Amino acid sequence: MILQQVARLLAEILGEGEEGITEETAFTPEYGIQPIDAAALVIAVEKKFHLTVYDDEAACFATVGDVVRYIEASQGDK
Amino acid sequence: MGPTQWDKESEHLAEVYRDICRELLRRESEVKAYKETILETKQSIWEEGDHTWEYGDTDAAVDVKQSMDVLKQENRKVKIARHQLNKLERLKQSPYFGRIDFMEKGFLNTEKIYIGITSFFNEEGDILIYDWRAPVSGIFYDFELGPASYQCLDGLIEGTVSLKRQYRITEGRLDYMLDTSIKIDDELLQEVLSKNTDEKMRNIVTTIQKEQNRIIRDENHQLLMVQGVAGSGKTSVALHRVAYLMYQGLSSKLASNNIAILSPSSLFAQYISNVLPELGEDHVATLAFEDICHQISGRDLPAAQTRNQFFEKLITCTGNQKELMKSSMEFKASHTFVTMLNRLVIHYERKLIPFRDVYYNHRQIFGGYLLKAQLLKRDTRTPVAIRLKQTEAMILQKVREENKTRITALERFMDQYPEHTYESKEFARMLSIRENRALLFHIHEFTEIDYAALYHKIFHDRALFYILAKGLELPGNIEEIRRRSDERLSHKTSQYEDALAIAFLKIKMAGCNSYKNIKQVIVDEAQDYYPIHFEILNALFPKAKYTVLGDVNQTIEKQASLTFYEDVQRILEKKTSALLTLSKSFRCTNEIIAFSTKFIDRSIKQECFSRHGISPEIIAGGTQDDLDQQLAAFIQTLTEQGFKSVCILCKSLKGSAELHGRIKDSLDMDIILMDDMFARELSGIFITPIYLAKGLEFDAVMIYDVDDTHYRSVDDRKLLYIASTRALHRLALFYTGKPSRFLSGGGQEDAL
Repeated sequence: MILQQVARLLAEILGEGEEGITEETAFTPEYGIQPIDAAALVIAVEKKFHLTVYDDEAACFATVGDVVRYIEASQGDK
Repeated sequence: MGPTQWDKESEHLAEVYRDICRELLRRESEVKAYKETILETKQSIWEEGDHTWEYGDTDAAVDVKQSMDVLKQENRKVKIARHQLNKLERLKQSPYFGRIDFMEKGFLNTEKIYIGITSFFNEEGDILIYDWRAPVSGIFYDFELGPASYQCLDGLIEGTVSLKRQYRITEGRLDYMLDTSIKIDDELLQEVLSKNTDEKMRNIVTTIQKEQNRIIRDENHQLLMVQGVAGSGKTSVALHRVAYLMYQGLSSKLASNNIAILSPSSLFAQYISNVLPELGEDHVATLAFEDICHQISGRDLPAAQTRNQFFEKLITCTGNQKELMKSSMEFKASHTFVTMLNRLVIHYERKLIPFRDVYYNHRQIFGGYLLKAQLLKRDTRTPVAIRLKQTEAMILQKVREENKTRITALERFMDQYPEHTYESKEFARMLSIRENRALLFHIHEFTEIDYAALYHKIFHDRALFYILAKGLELPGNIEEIRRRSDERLSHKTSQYEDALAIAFLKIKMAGCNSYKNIKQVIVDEAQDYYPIHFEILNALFPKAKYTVLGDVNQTIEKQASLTFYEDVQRILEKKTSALLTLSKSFRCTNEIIAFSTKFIDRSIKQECFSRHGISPEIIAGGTQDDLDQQLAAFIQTLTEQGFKSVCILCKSLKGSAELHGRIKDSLDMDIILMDDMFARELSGIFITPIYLAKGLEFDAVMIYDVDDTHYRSVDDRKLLYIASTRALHRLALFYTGKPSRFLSGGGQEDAL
């Protein structure tokens, strides 16, 4: 469920459909994702899920799955 | 003429059987009702629930959570009821196996106590069957007719046993009953032992011996060590002890996840997996030492040699290489090296951590010296890796405080260039994330420990090696060990003992919480463990109680004596400990035991249960082809005689594979090469190296290539003992050329 929502956010940023986005989708040019897109996703996630993502944490996100797990863990802490 | 004892017992059995069937029906309808509730709950979730709620829709989430809780509860009830059903099904087959008539001192009535694998009460609440682990059941295993006693919560209960009876009941029918006036080792045990072995280990509740019972029921010692000869039932006893402790644990909360059984291989784990479920207990997961090490340091050391690869290499190599391998293992698994590793942990935090100044937002936020001083000031009982992570968290806290200012500065900078195509907020965030990534990389250079590199440094940095070894006694070839270790670790390859040492180092430096629920540790085949194994166990399970079982005569490529148990006691540091012995072998025939004792230290007492069979045979072949043919013919005869598990034992896996290649097509039956990945039931014809057959048993065993090239050293002699004592009924040894010097009984061994 969170994956779907993150995928939707990323798809909006990329201006593409969310179908091909999975947990394994990496924030690399091979997947058509530039560093600026990843930064935009971090901002969008903070807004959507009412979270603060620190930049040292964001620096460790390599895939969509990492972001999903981060959100899940943050919700678990609440 | 009145009813006979047989009639009375048959009638009693019929009554108990009826009660069990009634209880079974009741439990089945209970399970049915629970299942219906589950189905209804699932339907209501489906019909009323909203499956696509968005984040923040708390009402829908609460409804679903409540329904899920109901489901969880009902599932738990089904699980418990099923567990009871399984027990009842087993009871229905054979409700009990023993009876004692016991009159308690000061009372006038004699109580008939029927003993089975689990307790059973009738609808009126009368106990019809006592669990074999109940305090009173101890009398059945410990006493003959006459005065007897047992310990229970109220203290010592004394009385008199006037009858002791054993039964064999199959499918609810009384097949056999026998009044025993002495011990449980006569007819019934004879019958059990003369059977062929099963594919998996079976329970021994009906034939537990007094000395075995003492071990099973011991609750006085935090460390219980058992030296037991081959075939004395060490593993069985260990598993029955687990079942007993779980039964006792009903009041002290010892559940299956509080127990760790360390087994030598996955095949062995598979072999013993039936015993606890047969006894009506949950399966207790068995751990292999390697799995523990892999879990702890697998990522630090991906290409470590496995224990079986180590044995294979050691067994197949010769001369200097063998000597170096053995001495390297002995040194790195020794108390001396453990001391060096402990010294390294202290030395590392004082001298080796490469602390650096930390800069953020164009200014220094921490100095390296300050960070070091703060680390040393923190509580040293906390492992250093955790303290380093605390240091990292402290730095990041400061960075996060400054982060807003930094982003604002970056945004302002971006605003100076209005022609750029990106949103300045996103671009500034991207730059900030990038800066943080670089900063983390810099911080991790001193807050993260590269265990493999640190371990390598011990051998690579000669000066450091001797600083750590100061005042310790080192082996004569220590420089050779150090240089070879340095070379191997430079090529990112490591020996089995390196994997152990790195696991130990990592536990000491980073701690390990994975096993904190373990309260009882069972170590089987302990004789093959070195001091570092027990140091690792002690570090992982410091508060657990231990049962350590072994046989110093069954070591592989190492020598051990009874002082081994003193080392175990010293390392595990338990307040109360005892060493008990099992000296009677039940597995093999008298003839096989008599033959195998020529391979061992005769100072250790070895008796055997009186069971006779065919004497071991020694078969010579003129050539290898001739020997292979004789072996195939021998197997053919054995299978015709109805032996179901037959095993050919070679010295190495390489030898086993070669033999398998030569003879696999010479018989109509499948011959299976058992390597360390094999984990199936032990029925059929197998070829395997001796070290993989440890702890297992077969109806017939053939040891191949028992010539004076393959078996000539003191370690080879022990291998022959291990191999011979795997056989229940038949043993044969095959050789070409000159027979091993040990076959004649005497034989001076070579050093290696």
